[in-house]
Amino acid sequence: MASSVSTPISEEHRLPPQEKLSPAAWVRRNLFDSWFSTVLTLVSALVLAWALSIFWNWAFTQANWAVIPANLKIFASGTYPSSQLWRVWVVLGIVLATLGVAAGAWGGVLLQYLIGLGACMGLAALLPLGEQSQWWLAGCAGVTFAAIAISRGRASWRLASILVWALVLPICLELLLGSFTPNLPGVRAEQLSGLLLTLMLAAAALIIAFPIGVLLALGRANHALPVVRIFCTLLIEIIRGVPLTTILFAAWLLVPFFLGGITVNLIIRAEVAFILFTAVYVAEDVRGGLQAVSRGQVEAARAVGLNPFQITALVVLPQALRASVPALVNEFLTLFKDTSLVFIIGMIDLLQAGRVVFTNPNWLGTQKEVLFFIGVVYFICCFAMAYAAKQVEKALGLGKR
Amino acid sequence: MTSLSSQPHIQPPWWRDERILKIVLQVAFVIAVLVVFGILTQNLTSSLRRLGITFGFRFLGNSANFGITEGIPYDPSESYLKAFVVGVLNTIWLSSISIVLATVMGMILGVARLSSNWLARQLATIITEIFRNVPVLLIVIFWYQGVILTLPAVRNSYSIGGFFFISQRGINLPSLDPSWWLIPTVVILAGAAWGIRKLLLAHRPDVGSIQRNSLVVLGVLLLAVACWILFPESPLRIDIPVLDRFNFRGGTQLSAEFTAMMLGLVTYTGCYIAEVVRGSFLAVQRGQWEASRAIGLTELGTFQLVIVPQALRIMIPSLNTQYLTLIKNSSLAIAVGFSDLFNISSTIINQSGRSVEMFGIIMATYLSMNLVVSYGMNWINDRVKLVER
Repeated sequence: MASSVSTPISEEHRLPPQEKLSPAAWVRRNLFDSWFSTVLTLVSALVLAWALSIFWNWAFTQANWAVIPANLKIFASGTYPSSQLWRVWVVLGIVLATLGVAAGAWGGVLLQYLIGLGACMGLAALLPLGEQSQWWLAGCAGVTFAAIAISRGRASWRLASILVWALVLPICLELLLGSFTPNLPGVRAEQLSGLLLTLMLAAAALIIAFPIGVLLALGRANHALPVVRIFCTLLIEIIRGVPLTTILFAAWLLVPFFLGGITVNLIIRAEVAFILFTAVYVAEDVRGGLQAVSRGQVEAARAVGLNPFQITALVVLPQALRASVPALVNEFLTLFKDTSLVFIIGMIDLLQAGRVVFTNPNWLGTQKEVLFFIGVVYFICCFAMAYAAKQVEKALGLGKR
Repeated sequence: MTSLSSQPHIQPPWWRDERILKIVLQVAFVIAVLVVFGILTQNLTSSLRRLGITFGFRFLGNSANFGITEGIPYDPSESYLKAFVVGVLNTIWLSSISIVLATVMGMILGVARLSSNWLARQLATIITEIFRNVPVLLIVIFWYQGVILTLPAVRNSYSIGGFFFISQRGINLPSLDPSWWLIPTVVILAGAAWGIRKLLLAHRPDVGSIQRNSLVVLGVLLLAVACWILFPESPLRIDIPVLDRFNFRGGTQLSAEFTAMMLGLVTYTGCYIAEVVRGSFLAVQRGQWEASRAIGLTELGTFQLVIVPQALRIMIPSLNTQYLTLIKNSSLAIAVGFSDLFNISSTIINQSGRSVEMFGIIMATYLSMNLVVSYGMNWINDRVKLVER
């Protein structure tokens, strides 16, 4: 991204010089500035000490951490049959290879993350996780680095690395569920669960909802075609007004009524619910971006003789999308967290897999440990995404003009 | 484009005339939408016919036959409609109390994140980052199964000052028991406050506003004590829960499910509100601080009179979004078994099989609740927004 080519002027040089404080003076100024500040410091310190002591006491004396390694498979892939796990590894390899190509072509924070991820997997391959997993992990790490090495610096691959996802997604779904030959039975959709399901739902909804959301936003902002505008507005407002739980429930119970005998896999129906729900929120974010594009841009584009389609695609949309990046990232984070609502329709995602573990008679009373672990997994994913988004925002120079 | 079409000499062919194209496009769009809707309705009616269900809302009068432990008194022999109303009231009760608490928490955390105190700032940052980056469902389940259900049983419940009791079954707290004498009391106290203020302003204009307010409060307090002593029945009795043999007597109880939902919604939304608050305060230009210092306002005065009104203006649209999200998230109550509108509706659907009708009702209810909140927030927004001249 732009950050890798921008001139290496560090923040320090642009800011006014800061005075250097001695540690004692720093403490005085930042903690005991006034009587109010002193009280605040004491109260905060008490709260912190209390919370830490409770956590320490629990984590190192009471908690039964054995529940986490013993159930790693359930967290990661839930009830997915162990004999078929090779499919998951192959899919992981494909996804990592595609990501690796994108990272090599684009560079920036994605490249850093993937190198980090590859390194982690390489290290995990050295742990005693079972002969097979170790080989697969090493293979995935190798594929990642190979993809990065091949595409490094090939800027012409950038666009292709995004478009290829339209192909990768169905291939992955087919690989995870399909039966290729008579003697290789498929996997039932309900067996797709755990973190695998969470990632699958979030990734597919993210990739498909984005273009639909952009179309809806354009439809809503289109003053030339009032019928389309009213339709889009109605759709957006109705779906935004009801909870995701209701939409999922509808996808589960109502959709079969409307399909007239055609049966559609539950996982696809849930996915459609997520896509619809995310798309309308994306539409609102993009609409905000569209409003931020000044009218002069449209007029200028018209003046140089572009037609309405070209004005939208070449002038307005790029600026609008750029302005809506922060809101869009928030939307995708919300989507990632909201995939946990699939429990409504009986699917088992990461959080639900955790509930399965701690209701297991062998692991009764481990709900805190399990929930803590799942919270950490979600936190790392969301925090990493939010951090990446901040880097992208910086590279785009958002909020600085 | 319009200039081209207004010139009669170079009339473009109809398939390139923008006005005609627009109409054709829209007609095509309407036809496409109508066809899709037609197919869907056709499918729906045939599916319903196959199941032997006729569409209608008559079933709402049938007896519900399931118990609800939460909310207004309700008997299982009463109708589905009554059960649904109980759910709606529970949702409104849960949402409104959570909105108030989340706003308070968000304000405190948001301001703490801007504080000049390093420790308070870091603490607030850690709390917001933790709760913002995990699913709200996880937070709710954590409060329910990780915290509340692991608390001691009722008999050993934690007590705060003998007024609040916290146990596995939730929170027991004092309830307010008003009698008819409350109305004259309120009238007398309000009149007294108004009168004392008026008198002071007229006869002792030299008294500062802080002293004047203290005098008003003191007078009202004295009168209030007099009311409680003089009236035959106390206007507002405080009913403190007392531990009986098996459960608490008196007071009100917030059930474990309600408490978990409330804590979950408050901590999750509160942290989002904290970000909204922080953003709004940061969006107030630095020059505003400097200018108010220059005209001699104190630090507190600047904050109260200059910064907060401007930040509020920026804050309210985002707060509206957060409140709507909170109301929608309250439907997660089904995960812990709190009888909210969604939970009760899904029970009704399971029992009666009337999914289409019930979905209509659920959607209409959520949409109207959202409308009411949005309307209220827009009303407030109109109050505080910049009056442009």
